[in-house]
Amino acid sequence: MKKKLAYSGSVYLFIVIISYFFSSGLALFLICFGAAISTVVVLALLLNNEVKKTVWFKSIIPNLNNYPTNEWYREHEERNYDVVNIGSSSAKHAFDYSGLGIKTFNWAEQPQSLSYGFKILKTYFSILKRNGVVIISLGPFSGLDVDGKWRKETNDKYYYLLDPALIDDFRSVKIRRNYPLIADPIRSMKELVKNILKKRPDTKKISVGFEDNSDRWIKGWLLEFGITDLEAGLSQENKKGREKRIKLLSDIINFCIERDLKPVIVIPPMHPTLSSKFSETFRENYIYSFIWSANSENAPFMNYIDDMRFAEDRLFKNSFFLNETGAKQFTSIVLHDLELL
Amino acid sequence: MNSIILSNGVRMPNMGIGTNWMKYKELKTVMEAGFSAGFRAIDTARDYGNEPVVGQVFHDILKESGGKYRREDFFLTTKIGNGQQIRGKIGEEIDRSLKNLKTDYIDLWLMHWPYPGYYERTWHEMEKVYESGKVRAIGVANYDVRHFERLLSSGVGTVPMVNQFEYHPLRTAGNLVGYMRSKGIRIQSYAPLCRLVTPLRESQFLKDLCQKYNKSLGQIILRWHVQQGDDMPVFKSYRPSRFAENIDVFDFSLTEDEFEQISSLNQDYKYHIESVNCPGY
Repeated sequence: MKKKLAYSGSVYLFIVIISYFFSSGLALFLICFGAAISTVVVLALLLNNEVKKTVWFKSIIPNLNNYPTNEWYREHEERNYDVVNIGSSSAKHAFDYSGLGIKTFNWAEQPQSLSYGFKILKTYFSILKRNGVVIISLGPFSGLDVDGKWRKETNDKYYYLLDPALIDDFRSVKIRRNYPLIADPIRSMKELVKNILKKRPDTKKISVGFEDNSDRWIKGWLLEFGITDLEAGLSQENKKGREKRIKLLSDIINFCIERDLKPVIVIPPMHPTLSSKFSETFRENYIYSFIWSANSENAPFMNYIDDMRFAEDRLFKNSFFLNETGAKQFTSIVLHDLELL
Repeated sequence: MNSIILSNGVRMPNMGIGTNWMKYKELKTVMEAGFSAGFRAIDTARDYGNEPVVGQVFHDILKESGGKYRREDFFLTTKIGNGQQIRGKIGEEIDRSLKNLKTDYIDLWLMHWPYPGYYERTWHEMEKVYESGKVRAIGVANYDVRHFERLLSSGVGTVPMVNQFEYHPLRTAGNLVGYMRSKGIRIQSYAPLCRLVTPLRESQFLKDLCQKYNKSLGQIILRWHVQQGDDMPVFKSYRPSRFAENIDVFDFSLTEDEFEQISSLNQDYKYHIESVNCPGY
C-alpha cells in the first residue's frame, strides 16, 4: 500500500510539473486538488491505525503463544511436545493442561471448523515428539459440514497463524486485517467511538439456567444445519456434508499415523441438561456412524459426553463449555486415560 | 580440506557458508572472511529473498580478487522454493536463479521442501534441468524417509544426490541417515551447531572434549560433522572471525568412542519446526 501511494504520488507530481508548462492555472489547481486528496488519505490512514487499536479489532488476534510460530520457536528451546488438541469452542474450554508437567498445546479456537483445525495441525505438528498424541476433539454436530455457514470474518484469525495459501479468500482477509476502515467503515467508526468512550464490548453474560441454555444451543444448531427433528435421519444436504466430513476426519487420522503421531478422538463432557437432549437414535445417526465410518484405522475413541463425573453445575461455564475447574479436572482425566500421567 | 564426492562424481566441499536473509554489506564481509579462511561453498535459496545479493557479492569478490578466486573454485548451492513449485515453471526458475547469481551454472540445485502435492512433479522437472547442464548436481532439502520413498516410487531417473536437513548431535536422525547412505545420498547439514542450545552448552562430556583438544564447543561439533566423510555442515555467522575458527577442525580427530558418545546426545531435537515452513510437511 505504501509503495503504491508513493508511486501514485510520484506520477501525480510528474503530471503537475508537465501541466505547468501548458498552464500555470491548471498546475495550481492540480496542486490544490492533490493536497486535498493527500490530506484525506493521510487522515484515513491515521484513523485506520486507531481502528486497529480497538478491542473489537484486537479480539480477533489469537493468542500467538499457543502456537510454535517462527517467532515462538526462536524464543523457546522446548521441543518434542507430548500432546496437542485441535477442535472448536467446546475444546477450547475443555482442555487446560496447565500444571500437569507435560508439554502441550491447545490448538482449539472459538469457533473452528474441522478443516481449519486440520490446517492448524498441518502447520504446527512438527513440534510434537515421535508418537506424540493428537487429540481430535469433536462435538455432537462435528459430522456435519459448516463450510459457508459461518460469517466470513471467522477466518480472519488465521491471518496470524496460517500460510496465505491455506486461507480461503485470503485477499479479503488481508484487507480486513490491514484496512478495517475500508473493509467495514460503519463498524469501524462505531468501534472507534466505543473505544474513545471507553465502552467495553458487549459480552452478554449468561444469566439463564442450564436447562434454558441447553435449549438455546439446540435451537442454534437446528437452525444452522436446517434440522427440524433430532430423531429423524439426516437430510440430503447434511448427508452430503457428512460425506465430506468423513473423508476429512479420515484424512486427519491418516495424516497423524503417517507421521508417527497418535490420533485420539475425544468428545468432551456436557452438562446433563444438554447431553440428555441427544437420544441414542441421534447419537447413532449423527455422531457414532460418522466416527466409525472415518475411523478405519481404529484410533482410540474416548467419549465423555455423559460422564457422571461432570454432572455438577460448578464445573461448567454454560451447558456446553466447561469452566476452568471443569477443564482442569477433565484434562487430567483424559491424560490419565491415555496413560500420560 | 577434503571434499565429498557426490554420486555423479561432482566434488562438494565439506563446509559451507550460509547466507540467508543477509544484506550486501554484511554478506560481503562474511564471504570475504570465509573465502580467506578457506571456505569454498556458498549456500543460498530463492526463498531467502537475497539470491541477487548473494550473486552480486560473489561477483564483486571474484572481480576484486584479481584472479585469485575463480568461479570454478567454488561450489554454489541454491534452492527452488514452495511458491515456485506451485507456479510449476521449473525450467524458468533455474534461469532466474542463474541471472540472480550472475553465473552460467549452479553446482547444486536443491528442492527446498517436499511441498505436498507438488514435490514429485517438481523433481521430474528438475531432472530435465540437470540433463540440460545448467546445474552440475541436483538434490533435495528437508526430506524425511517417507518423502524419499514416495519420490523414488514415482519412478525417477536420477536419485537425489544430496539432502540438506537439520542434522547435529541432538538430532542424529538414524533412520533417515541410514536410508540416505543406502542410496548414496550425501548430507548437507543446516543448523549444524543447533544454535548451541542448553543441552549442548551444558554437556559435561562436550566440555571435557573441548579441554582435551583445546578447541571450542563449535569446533568439536563441526569435527563430529566432517569426520563422517559425507556431511557438509552449512553455518551462518555475522562474525567474520568465526569462519577461521570453524574451519580449524582438521588438525585433530575424535576417537570412535568419543564420536559415538557425541552421537548419543541425540534426543530427536529439531531447532526448526519444519511444518511451519512447509504445512503438511
